[in-house]
Amino acid sequence: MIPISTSRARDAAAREPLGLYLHVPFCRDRCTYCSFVTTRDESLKGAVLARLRRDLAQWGEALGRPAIDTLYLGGGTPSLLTAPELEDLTAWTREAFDTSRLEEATLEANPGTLDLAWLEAARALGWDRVSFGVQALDDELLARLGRIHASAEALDALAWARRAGFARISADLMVGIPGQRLERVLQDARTLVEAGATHLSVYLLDLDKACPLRAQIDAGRLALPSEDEVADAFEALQEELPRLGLPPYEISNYAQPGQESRHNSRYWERRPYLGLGPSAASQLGDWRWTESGVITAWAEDRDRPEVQELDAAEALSEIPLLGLRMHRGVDWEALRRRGEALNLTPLVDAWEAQLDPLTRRGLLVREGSMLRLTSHGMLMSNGILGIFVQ
Amino acid sequence: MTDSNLIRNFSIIAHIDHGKSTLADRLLELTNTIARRDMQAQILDDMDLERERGITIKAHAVTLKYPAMDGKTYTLNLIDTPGHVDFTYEVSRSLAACEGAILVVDSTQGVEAQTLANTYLALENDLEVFPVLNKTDLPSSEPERVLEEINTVIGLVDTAHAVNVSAKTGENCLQVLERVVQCVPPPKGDPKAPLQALVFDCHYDQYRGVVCLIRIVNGTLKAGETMHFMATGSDHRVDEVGVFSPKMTKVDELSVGEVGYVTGSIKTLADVKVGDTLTHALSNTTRPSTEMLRGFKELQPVVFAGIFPTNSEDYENLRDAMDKLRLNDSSFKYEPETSQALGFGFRCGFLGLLHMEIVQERLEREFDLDLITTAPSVRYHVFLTDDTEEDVDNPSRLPPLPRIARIEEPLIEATILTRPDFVGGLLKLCEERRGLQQRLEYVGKDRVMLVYELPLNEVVLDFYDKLKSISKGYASFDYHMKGYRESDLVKMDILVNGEAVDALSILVHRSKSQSMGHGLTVRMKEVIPQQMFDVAIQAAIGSKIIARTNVKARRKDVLAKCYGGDISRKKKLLAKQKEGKKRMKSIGSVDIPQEAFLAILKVEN
Repeated sequence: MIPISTSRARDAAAREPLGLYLHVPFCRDRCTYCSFVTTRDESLKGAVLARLRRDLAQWGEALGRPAIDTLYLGGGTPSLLTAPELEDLTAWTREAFDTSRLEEATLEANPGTLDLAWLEAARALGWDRVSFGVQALDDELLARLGRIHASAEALDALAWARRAGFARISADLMVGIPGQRLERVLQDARTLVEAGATHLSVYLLDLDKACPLRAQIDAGRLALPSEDEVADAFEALQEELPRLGLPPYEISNYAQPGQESRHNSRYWERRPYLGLGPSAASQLGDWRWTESGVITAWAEDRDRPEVQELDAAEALSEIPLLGLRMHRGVDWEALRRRGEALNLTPLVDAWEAQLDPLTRRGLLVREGSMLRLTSHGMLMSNGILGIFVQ
Repeated sequence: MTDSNLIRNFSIIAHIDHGKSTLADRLLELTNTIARRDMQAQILDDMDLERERGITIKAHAVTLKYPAMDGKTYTLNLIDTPGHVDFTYEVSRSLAACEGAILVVDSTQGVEAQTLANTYLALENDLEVFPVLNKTDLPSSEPERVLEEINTVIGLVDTAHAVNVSAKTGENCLQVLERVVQCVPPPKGDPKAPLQALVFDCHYDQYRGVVCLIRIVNGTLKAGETMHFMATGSDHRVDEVGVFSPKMTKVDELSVGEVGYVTGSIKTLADVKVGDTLTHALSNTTRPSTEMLRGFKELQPVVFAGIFPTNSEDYENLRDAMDKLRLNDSSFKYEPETSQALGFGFRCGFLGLLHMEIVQERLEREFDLDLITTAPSVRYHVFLTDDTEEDVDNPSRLPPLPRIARIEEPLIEATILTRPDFVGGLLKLCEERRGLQQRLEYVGKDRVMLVYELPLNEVVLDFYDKLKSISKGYASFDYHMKGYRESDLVKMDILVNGEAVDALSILVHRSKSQSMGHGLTVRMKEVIPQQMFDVAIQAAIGSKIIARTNVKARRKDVLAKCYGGDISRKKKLLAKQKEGKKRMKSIGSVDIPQEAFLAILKVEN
């Protein structure tokens, strides 16, 4: 069940607290743009929870009940768990892992699936951060996305979360929806901040896989906004949200100071995390693996993940690959020293040769030893981050 | 030794798709040279590229045994030749090995420029030519009209002995063989005279070394003798002589009039030149001929281009590939070249545009290389102010302007055959390409022949594709070189973000520089993908910018999606995106695709 050497995993887990991600693969309905691992078949709930319970216990034991400092319940729609189911899951987690140093426990929630009582129950179990999949506050756009909630429900959910005692509230906002206009994006962002969101994740609608929305667009029934419109909206948010007190800290993420997602930050800082549940990804030491995305196969443990072991060059290259997504950037001098220690100076030199012309063209900026993307660089980050991909 | 009175050496002249290979297949079948079960279409064209394109690139020879109506069995040597203008010299040598030629014309179409040029070549070599009108099984077949056209256009061909056939069904094909025996004269020559054999083609064989295709004119040749190539001056011991039936079949000797092959552990094709005369080295039993056969020429490339690996690490692989390719194609010339923009590569010389395409395609296909080919150029004579002369085939190597007294450019005489309704468009095309009309003639009710003198540098830039599109495919084109003429040419540079890209420089006529500059920068803008920053494209003559376009920067290229901790997935997306860029050349951090280097070909004149 544990796909890596237990003793070495234990060593890695002992060095620093882990992040723990749990994937809840259920949704009432699939959104028209979605390519995540999720199902409407709630009859699988028992099997999924059973496997999660088993995995939590086994990992806790294998790693010697290690400390976790961030916990994240994602999906899917975790708010489809009933309060008692959530209570069980929380209890299993606490049994298996040392949560005394827990700094953050986030729940993802769909505004159309919850009420005040559920949020109060979750808060009482110790969950202290909630992330709502709001996407937009325009009912026509929400229907187009196949969201099961209306904008009024989203605002209610935010209000209930505050009433239930959540001080850390995040909302997802989507840019690039067919029919979405720039002014509306800004207005929705303002409304969400006024309604109590202390953190916003701004995602671009990206239809990289087959999905109903893609089909509608291909058939000419809907049109995506132009690259310019999307870029304008993204840039306008980069200006507007700091004015509202939420400066960006990552390409897609804005927060009031101190409200940044610690769990998500660990992905960009390459700190260890364990992901349990179908399609959940883990990184521990130099190992990385992703659980099966086929829910039943995962639940029955029929599709074991392939473990990838990163070599020194790949691990080094991920520091800027992920780190440059963050606004504070990457300590390039420190990276260079690390490269020297690993005998990888030529690799760092090669990166620099490719980055320099981009810095000259205003896509990156160097401040002291820190290298970071500019606002334009953020929007064009694929070409820049691609430098670090082999 | 075959009685030379029972030998007939002939070739087939035809336009592409008029049925040459199909007819050859039938003749092979009818003479049982190939058992029906071993038969595959276009049997003589054994290169994949030949079959795919329906063309013949290399010459082939095959010996057929034909029991004629007169009761005697004749040895018919069919020499199959490439038909394209790029290979005119090879064609002329193959024809020189024959006494006769069959002119195959599609009876639903008519005489085409290529056929015309090759028929003239045959007549120049004193061949007896008789027409075969093919595709008579088709309802649109009009053999009488086509025969009349042959009479009007060529005149000198023996139309009285024309044969109507369907190579596809085989109808009347036996008649063709009979006609070969009757019309084609037997070879003349003296078996006792010193050996003279025409080398009409050669190819490299992994096991035997160079295989020379030869036709004995005088004397005899046997294994064990020492042969001497008169033009190259090299001597080799003869390993084997034989004939193609159609596989290589060893024989004791080759004598007057016979067509076959000779091998002699010749290591490289560079040691053998097509058109050379093979004789004996002086020995106790043999003496060399003192005279070479007529018509030998050193082949000179006429079209030039740079070929560079897209990935600079492939340079050595490209060199190996070129070395290997050259083993089978000695007319392909190359030398190392360094471009500031493209790095290390090769300057290559070709016999023509088709030859260039074939070489490029073979390099990419047979050696799996990603290549950047620069726009084709021609060889200019550049006269300098110090009274010296330089040949320049690479525009970026043009000496500085103040040193140039004048430039001469190569000319061709082009023959175009088309239908009257396309004449207007084609005249316009030729005029735009700085052509001078030599002739315009109706050569049949529905057929017009245009003869133009054109600068070759106008022809290498997409002239042929334009011709085909204007005429909807109903025009054929052939040309021959016609010397040099002084011309007001200027070098046009292309600057990408302020830096001149040497591989994009071209020589253009001054009168066209403005429109070419404009067209080229517009076209470049279309083919260069949007990048992370604005890309300025400028055309300049000297320091003067004559045209400019701008590729606007992309606004958005970002993964702003919730992937959680699945780094591998994120990296896969980035890697996939990067893969698309690999086929492009990065110049000053601008990614330039192959099409941009050939953009000039697509510029409207």
